[in-house]
Amino acid sequence: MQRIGRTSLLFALVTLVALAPPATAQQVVTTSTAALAKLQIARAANPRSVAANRALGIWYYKANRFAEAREPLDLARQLDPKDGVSALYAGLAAEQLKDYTAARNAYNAYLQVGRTGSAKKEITARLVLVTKEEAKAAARDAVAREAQIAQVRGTPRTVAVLPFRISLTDPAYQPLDRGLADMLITDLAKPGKLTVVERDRIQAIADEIALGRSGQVDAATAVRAGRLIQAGSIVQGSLIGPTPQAITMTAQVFSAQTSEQVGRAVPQSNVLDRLFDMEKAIARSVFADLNIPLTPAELQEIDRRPTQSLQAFLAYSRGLEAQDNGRLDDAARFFDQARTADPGFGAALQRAQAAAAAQSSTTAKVESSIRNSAEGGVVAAAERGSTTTTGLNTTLNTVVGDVNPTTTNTMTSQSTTTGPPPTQQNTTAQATGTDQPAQRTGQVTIIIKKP
Amino acid sequence: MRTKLIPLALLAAAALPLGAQGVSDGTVILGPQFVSYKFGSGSGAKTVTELAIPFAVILPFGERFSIDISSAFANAQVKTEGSSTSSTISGLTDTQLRGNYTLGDNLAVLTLGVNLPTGRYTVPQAEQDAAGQIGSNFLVFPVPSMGGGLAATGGIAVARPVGSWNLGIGGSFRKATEFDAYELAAANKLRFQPGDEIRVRLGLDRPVGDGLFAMGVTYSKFGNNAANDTTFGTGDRALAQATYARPLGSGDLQLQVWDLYRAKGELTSGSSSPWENVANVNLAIGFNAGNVYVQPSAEERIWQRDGTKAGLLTNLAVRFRFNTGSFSVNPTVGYSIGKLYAEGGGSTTDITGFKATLLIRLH
Repeated sequence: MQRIGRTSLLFALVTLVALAPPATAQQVVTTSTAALAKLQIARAANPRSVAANRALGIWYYKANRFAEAREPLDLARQLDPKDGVSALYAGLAAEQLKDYTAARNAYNAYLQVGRTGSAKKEITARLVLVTKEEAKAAARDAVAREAQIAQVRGTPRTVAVLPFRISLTDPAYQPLDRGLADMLITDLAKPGKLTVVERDRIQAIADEIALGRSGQVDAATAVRAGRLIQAGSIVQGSLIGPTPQAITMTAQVFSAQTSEQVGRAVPQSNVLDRLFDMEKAIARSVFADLNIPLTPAELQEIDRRPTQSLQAFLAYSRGLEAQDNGRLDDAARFFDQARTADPGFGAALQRAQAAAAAQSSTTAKVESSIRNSAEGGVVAAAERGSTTTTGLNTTLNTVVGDVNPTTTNTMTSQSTTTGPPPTQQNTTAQATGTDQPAQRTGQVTIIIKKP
Repeated sequence: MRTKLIPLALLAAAALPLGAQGVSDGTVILGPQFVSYKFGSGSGAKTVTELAIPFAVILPFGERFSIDISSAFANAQVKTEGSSTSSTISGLTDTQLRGNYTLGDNLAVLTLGVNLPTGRYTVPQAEQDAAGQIGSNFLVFPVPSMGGGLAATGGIAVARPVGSWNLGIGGSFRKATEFDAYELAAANKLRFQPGDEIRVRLGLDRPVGDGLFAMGVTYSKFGNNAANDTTFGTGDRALAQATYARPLGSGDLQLQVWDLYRAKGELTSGSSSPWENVANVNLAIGFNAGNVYVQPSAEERIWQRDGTKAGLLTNLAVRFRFNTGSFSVNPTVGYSIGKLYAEGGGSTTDITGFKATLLIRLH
């Protein structure tokens, strides 16, 4: 009899395993449909419910229906700008749809209102890539709509600094084209009297129109680049010299309005070792060319050097070049080299960390970073088709599992490696004492008491 | 034989396409587990092993009502080195059928469970050692009992937000019928009537920082049991639990603490069963390695009987989780090391253990 029972059990298990996949495949569809239906009903019942819109958006995102995810998520953000989960998933959905501007805005919103520290860290890393992609997309769009965009001119105080033209005999100095532009952008932004276009945006335009690829940039091309970015003034710098002992740095300022050069563009000549002195003089001359007076304190701030080490600055410039080309591992390595050469080089440290984090960043990592957090509970609920925000269902499930425990609880609550505590007991073993793990053979003894 | 057919039918039902059952959602869980503990070394060393294959089917019917059905196949064995005899028990355990009905918007849950006696009863003497050893509160085997008799449990759970906390309160009453637990000498049977049980639970949970914190206490009050004509009480139980889980880097951290207290009681032999306490702390850190979630953990467990140290156990384990198709696969391996302390101090017995689990979920 027992043999038959075991055979039956084996047969049942084999049957279960054999039949389960098709059943499960159907189940996934049914489950999804059921969860979606629940969420749609919840939103229809209360179209301005943050929880309902957020849950529906998350569900659509999880189902890879990114376009459909955006509308409810954006509405949830509108209804409650402090809702971090809506911002996070709005950012993820926008990124999947390659709307990088919306993704950046949503991610930045999460950094402001989100509650999960690990998610903020992942998003900060993700923003490096999103910002870059946004700049590329904007550049492509600008070139495609050049005629239309060229009609809109920026004010003279909106300044774009193009990559420097480098004409030195040693090609190892070529990455200074980005490093010097980066340093000049930083200096021009310091007094707060100019709107300086971010280097990523300028580099994206430069890449899009193949600016400077030939090593020669004429005024017309520089002005074209500036107009595509909608800058009012364009700064085109150059570094020229037959040897490191005799180099000249110049920065011409062009007006996007007139295409004419503005100011005098006083050249600075010196040895390469005095590169930073020359850059500071160039920064002052740009302000002079734009007729912007500076206070002594502002001049002092501009004169502050991020590093004194030419070697560190060269490594930093190589890092920018690698980052622009999408080689984030190389970028992280070069920024690290810059930091090693000058441990006080703050920008190098910042970029090294950002590049290191960005190279392993994925949208999946952003999503998983809120697992096991309070915000992650909202996401898990949405996947089940629940709009609950308070987690009361989890509380209830726990109580039910403890007051009426079954093997199901034991199996579903294995959140840790060693399983849950003993919620069920073996009454007969405890009554007979055979549950004690002593080094003896168990024996059942009963004393029959006289009534 | 008829009782064995019940879980078989349930299994077959679970394997059917759920759409055909008119069920909107469902989960099937299968979790084979192997656990082995060795006490002492050399001749006389005792080994207790359990191979358990629990399985569960969760079937929601609409938004408010769900049923879960669970049972297990288990094989437990007690062997002593140098001894030609061993104790082995094998077969299906009881089947638990539970229905939960949610009231309001997660306001309360009414729960009703039935324990169907599909397990092993009238256990022969040769199998009784194995049947008892798996019930240890200290070692916590995956299937602690081969059968507990036909029983019904009814209860209610209520949850309310209180400030930034969620408060959960619940209570239940369990009534069991008598059953033939063991076969005794001279063709007698141990007719066992478990006492009624009242359980109450109070719990709180809330977000803390990036994570979630939960704590709760469950108290079980038992009526007197009866073994043939003898009545006795095995002692009330209290289980306190606290858990904190939070993201950590790209993974997570879980800290879980529980403490089980069983009050002084009596045995069927007439002797007293001293109070015991098992305290456990577990720290697990999970991280993602490619598409696989890896969660190593360390656990320390202390067992006290009648105020003296009775056992110490350290469990080290690694759990993995990955998805393949619609399957979520969770294999776990673990190693245990510890000691048992003799009553009144003095001698100790080394414990070594091994655990392997393969939990599979079909969503």
